[in-house]
Amino acid sequence: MTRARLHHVALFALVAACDKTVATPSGTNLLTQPAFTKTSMSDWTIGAPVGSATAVKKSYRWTSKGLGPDLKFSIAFEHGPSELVVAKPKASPPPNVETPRAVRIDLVDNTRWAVTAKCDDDLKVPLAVNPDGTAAYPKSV
Amino acid sequence: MKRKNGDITIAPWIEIHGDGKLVVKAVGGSDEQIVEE
Repeated sequence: MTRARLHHVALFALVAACDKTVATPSGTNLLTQPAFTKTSMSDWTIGAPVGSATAVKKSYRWTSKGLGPDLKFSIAFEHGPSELVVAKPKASPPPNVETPRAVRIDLVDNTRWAVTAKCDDDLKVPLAVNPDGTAAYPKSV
Repeated sequence: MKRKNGDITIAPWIEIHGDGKLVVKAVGGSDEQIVEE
């Protein structure tokens, strides 16, 4: 699994099950990440939010062929513009960049699995290129 | 998916993009599936 081309936050939940497993209760909050400030570019950071955010919430069901019972979880997050803070700006200052914020993952329904989730603390900056081939600031991470 | 000492470990993959795009996928092959409800 490569992360080199990810243009986003990467998250994943780990699930394990055996006879001794203590099931994580339904309703457990698995992850809360209020905001992101770091990026995969070490001298670029995310500054203050600019303007309002849009909220998204979706629910998912994980199923398998014989590994165990189904599991349901929900993902809620906001996204909106934020300042892109660049230590050494190019000729023009960086524009605002669309970023995810306030990520939350909850376990909705679970009877058997031990569940955890984790989240990278940096936003993956996509490669952005100007028409002339030079590197450009990203519009979204 | 990994199996060790009777445990099964599953690691679904989640991507959250700044423009609101959300990608959720199972990475264990055809034995696993994640569907939006």
